[in-house]
Amino acid sequence: MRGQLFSSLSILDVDPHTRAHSGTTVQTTSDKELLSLIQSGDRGAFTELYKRYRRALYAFCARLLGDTQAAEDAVHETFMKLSTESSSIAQPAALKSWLFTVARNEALMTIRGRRDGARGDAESVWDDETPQSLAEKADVGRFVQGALSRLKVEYREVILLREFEGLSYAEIASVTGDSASSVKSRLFKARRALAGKLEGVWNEERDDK
Amino acid sequence: MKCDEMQLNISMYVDDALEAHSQEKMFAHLATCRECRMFLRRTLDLRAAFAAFPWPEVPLSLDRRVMAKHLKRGKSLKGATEKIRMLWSHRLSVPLPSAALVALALITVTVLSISLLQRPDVVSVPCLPAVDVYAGQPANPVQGN
Repeated sequence: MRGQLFSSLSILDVDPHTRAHSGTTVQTTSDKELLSLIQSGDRGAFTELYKRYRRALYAFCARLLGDTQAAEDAVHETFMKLSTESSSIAQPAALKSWLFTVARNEALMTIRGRRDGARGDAESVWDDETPQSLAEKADVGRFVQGALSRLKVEYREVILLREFEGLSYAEIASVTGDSASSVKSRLFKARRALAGKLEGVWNEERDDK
Repeated sequence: MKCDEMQLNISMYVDDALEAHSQEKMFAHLATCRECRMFLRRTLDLRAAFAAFPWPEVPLSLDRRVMAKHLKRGKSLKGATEKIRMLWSHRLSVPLPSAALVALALITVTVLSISLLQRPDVVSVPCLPAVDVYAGQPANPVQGN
């Protein structure tokens, strides 16, 4: 019955993500149930899960990579893995973390390919190679966006997963493969770096007002 | 050094991950430290700026790529299921009356075999004469010799 229900869904339906955080969406069927249906061959359940996470995963990859085409490829590969490896997912209840882990790994492969082994200053939180330049950003929002895109990927990813996806420290640690204390420390360093970088802009804005 | 630790706590506080007793220490410190107050303010400003970020639109090409691959995979799986069904219907399946007849015949043969084996006049075991184990002679020698 449920299979028939999901089979009737179309990818052109309205996106279920009506708010910024994907976690705020009302979900009638849990991820675990959907995964179980996918494992039993229900194509409609796959479509439902795709609709549930496509926006969050695409935004995460696009912001991490600063490249929409590469983000599209990463999300595509993520769902292909879901399609072929759904039966090997060890913790069905943590499907969201699994999806972000796969998407992150795909994105990191793209980033490593771009850099071709070049490494910058290990102590710095800033990335020398930027998807976007900060130079001529006028308003604060775009300036913040630019500063975020200049963070090194290991700092950028924790900010994205925490601020945009609302993942807990433990969930972020599960995605990145680090400890929760490492996640906590990187979040702090990223925030302090961003706050310092943007101090001048905020002060200018306050003076204008 | 102390401000570093406090700012780490501030970062955890905005994530709702700081324990109550640490919060008390943090607020006590904030009351006396302008730098840390500024850090808290900037961290909240950042959060507000992130919340105002536009969400990138998911391109239709992604929807098409994912769903096309998935449907193709679904069709190949469906094709495999269909092949098994065809094999069953064309090669392995037998009409229901024939199957019932075969099953009935098997049951009849089984029941008959069991009942025949249980009849003593059909299968008789030859009786050997009783032997005296001490003398090596028959226990009841023929009288009159």
